[in-house]
Amino acid sequence: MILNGEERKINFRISVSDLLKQENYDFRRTAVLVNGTVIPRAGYDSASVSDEDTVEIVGFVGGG
Amino acid sequence: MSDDLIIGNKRFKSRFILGSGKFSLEMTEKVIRNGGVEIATLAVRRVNKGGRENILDYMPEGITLLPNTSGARNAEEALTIARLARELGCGDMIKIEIVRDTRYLLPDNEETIKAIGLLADDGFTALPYMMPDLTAARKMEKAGAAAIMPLAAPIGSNRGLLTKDFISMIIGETDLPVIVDAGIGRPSQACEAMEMGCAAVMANTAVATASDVGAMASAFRMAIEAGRTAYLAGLGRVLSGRGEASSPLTGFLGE
Repeated sequence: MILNGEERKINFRISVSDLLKQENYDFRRTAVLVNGTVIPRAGYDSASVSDEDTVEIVGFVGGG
Repeated sequence: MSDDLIIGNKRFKSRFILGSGKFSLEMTEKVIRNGGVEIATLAVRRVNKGGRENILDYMPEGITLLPNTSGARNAEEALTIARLARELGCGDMIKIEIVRDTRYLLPDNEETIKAIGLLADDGFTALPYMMPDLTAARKMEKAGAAAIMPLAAPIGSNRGLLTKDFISMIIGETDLPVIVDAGIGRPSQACEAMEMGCAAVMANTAVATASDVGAMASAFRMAIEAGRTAYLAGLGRVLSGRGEASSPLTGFLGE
């Protein structure tokens, strides 16, 4: 898996929800993109990712 | 009489839009308060895991967030970033920023016009950052933009109203609020933009690179208010080639 540009090895398919928990992200402050598709917050439990996926976890930062 | 700034279906009292980059998080609230700011822009970026500080924790209650699509190089990427911003809970106002040029950071008007259509179809209120070009502004208005955000000078340059005449054309020829975005470096330049009839001014670097950012935010608030009041008052006429006395030219002592 590519997570925020870095290669990761995951052995099992896991839900987006579990990935966020495992990686210690704040759910309220993050949004998730899997292979270019935005995953709505309501779909974190049903959407899953595997070792083949490219995942971006993003949040707000200061900007003009 | 109320003089609200209207963008889409929202009304604002303040005409100072603040870019939130380059500040320490601790200064954010003070700058917003001193500037009387009601709209602040943000960017969407990869975040590191863990309980790192988040800019949203420093935004005062009631502030309207205006995420930008910086990092987008085409219309499709802008739509993806806008959707991510919406998932982050900011509402539906988005500043479209599509930049391919890495030296001057100039916006791509053509892709921006395309993005306005995509975002409007997806329910967003789109505010396009653009290179001041009247033809492009008309197309943006037609595509469903809620405001036009022409640049004064390259982003972060503090060089002032280099594109003044071209921004004036857009103010005169479109019905949308025109918000000068990028390049404003001093309160006097913000005031001048407002005197011209701009609906609002956006600034970030001008405040963030001042020696006293809190005081500079206050200075921008006053300048923008002064410029707006002057615009509504109607500027006095300009004479060339001669002067005109302010007092009657009769009744002099000793006549």
